[in-house]
Amino acid sequence: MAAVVGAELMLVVCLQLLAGYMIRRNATRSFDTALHGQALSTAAQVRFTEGPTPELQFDNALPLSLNSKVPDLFRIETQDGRVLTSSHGLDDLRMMRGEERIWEFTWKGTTYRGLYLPDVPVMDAEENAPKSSATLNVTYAASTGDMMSSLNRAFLTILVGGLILLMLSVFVSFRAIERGLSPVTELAVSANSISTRDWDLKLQPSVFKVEEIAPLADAMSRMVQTLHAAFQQQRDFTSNAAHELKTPVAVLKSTLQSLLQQPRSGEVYRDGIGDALQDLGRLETLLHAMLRLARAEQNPGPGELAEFPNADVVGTCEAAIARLAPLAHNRETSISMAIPSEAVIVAAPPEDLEIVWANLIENAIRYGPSHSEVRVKVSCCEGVVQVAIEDGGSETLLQDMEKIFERFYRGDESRSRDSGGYGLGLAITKAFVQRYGGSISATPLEPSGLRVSVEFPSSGEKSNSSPKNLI
Amino acid sequence: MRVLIVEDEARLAGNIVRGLRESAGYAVDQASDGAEGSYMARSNPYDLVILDLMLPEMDGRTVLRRLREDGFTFPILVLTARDDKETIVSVLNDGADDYVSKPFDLGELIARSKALIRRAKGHSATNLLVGNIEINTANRSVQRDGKPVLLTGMEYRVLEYLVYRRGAVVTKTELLEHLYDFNWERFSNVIEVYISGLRRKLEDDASSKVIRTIRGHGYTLEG
Repeated sequence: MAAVVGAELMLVVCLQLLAGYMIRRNATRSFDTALHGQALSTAAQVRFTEGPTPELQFDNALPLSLNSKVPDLFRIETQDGRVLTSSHGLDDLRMMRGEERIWEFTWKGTTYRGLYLPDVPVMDAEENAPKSSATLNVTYAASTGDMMSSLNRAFLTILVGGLILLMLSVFVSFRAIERGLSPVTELAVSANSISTRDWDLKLQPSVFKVEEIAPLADAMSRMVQTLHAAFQQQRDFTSNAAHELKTPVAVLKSTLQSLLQQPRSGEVYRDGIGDALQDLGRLETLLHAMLRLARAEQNPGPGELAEFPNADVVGTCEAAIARLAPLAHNRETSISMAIPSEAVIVAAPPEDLEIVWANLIENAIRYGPSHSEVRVKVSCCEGVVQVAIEDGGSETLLQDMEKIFERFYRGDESRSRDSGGYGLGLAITKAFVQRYGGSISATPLEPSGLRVSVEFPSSGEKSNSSPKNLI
Repeated sequence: MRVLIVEDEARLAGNIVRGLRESAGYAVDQASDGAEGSYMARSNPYDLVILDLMLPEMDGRTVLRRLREDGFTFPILVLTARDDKETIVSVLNDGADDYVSKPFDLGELIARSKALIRRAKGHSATNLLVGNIEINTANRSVQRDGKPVLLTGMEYRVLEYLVYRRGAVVTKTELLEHLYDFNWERFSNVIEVYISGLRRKLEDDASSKVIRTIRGHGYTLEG
């Protein structure tokens, strides 16, 4: 701010100096013109005397002085050196000028500006005047006092006016900047009040009034909302995870504590350690699932989407089915697969895609009735890859359709606990599907059953492969 | 004392059952879902119910609320994985007497169970005096005239129950219902065996009777 005012002040002073110089130059010029005119009109008062031999003679009518207070000085002489007139006995006015045509000098405490005009023709219009080529040398000087005082007045006016203008402009710019920047200050206050407890960016309406600040305010509130959502997701996850971890930890802890309650036989200890290891195994499974979910929920960075490798949908489905064959066998459930003739490619890491299919098919096997069939249907049309997994009768309630993809949701506590589920499988599946640009939905089937459908944008080139039918 | 545990996590329930049997000498029944737990709590005279909140079929909160609505007064200890203030306050307001959050300490759970039963029977001190007999319910020891008396597990259970119900007539059926869980076979004559064992150890002669038999009704402890 001070720098701006300083620069402004410098500018004003420079402009004033320039203006002063210009004014002074013009004033001097017009002074010189006036001096010239005075000199000529004074010279015009030199006439020829009447008579047979006309003589040059200065008519004593003095011209009006240029300066109001101090009379002008002049001297007129003929070419042969005869002095026709010389004011105030100033004989060597001529001497004081040196060789200059125009010069300044001080005489009796007054500053004069003098002009020397050589060869001024004698202007005598009278008829008896000899048409001689007699010329006069005129020296004329006038006090510059009047000019200087009016110059000084002009300078003073410019200076005072300039300073007033400067102060006015400083004041106005201060006010303007203050008004312009006050939304920024308010924005800073609002931003400062954001914390992990209070995510409300309380923006004053005045912030949006300033055109230049409004986009910043908008961007800030969007940023806060995004951060809040991310923070909330993290906190929900941590809270859910902590909650879910407590039960297996409680089991493990109680197993070990009950072993230590009193001395027991080696066999009881061995059984107890076996139990504890089993509890630990469940804890580990849960931990892996949670870490996998955390990874799946990480949004891909800009450009990362393009870097995902291509995965063969049919191949990953087959791998998932192969992995689940023992479970299907246990539940006496068969798995059928319908695939299109051409290869179906999706931009996603194959191992993640396999997890998606495996989770969905495992759910269908676990929650469908035993002795039933799980159908996997892969289709591809108009750039959209669709994989539908249908089971023969999940007991998932209709109102639960929205919830089944939520973290830690369990359709039925007892059955999912028995089957080792923690309600993370579908959440992981959904997170992976969304991570790789797809969508997932669940719809009930008539008369019974559940159909989970995953859609991805198709990727990569299509190549023909031999048609495969139901496995 | 007879306790019901409603917990779907089988291993956790098993560990609590073992702890209560071994460290407190309680008879313990188990229910693995809310509906079963609710039914069992209504059909047997339990001295304490330990209730998990996250249960299949009927959630623990509902079980708790309905039992209290229907006038059941036995103490209820809630097990919960949620230990936020709101949950705890609302659980206590729904009629729970105490809560333990997971993962808990088995010793603490047993101590809280004992305390809840003691308070429900109208006692504050863990040391109970009946005449010249002193019973420490915390470490399950009995002294007579300052000298330790060695009792069997069942003898102690019978004595503890009679002491808690001091002055009242306790029928044989009541004793059976409170000292045995579903896993034990019930023989009514076995109670008589324990009573006579207690008398032998606690009474010198017929003049210093501690346990009085009310013929045709049951037993009563005087003190």
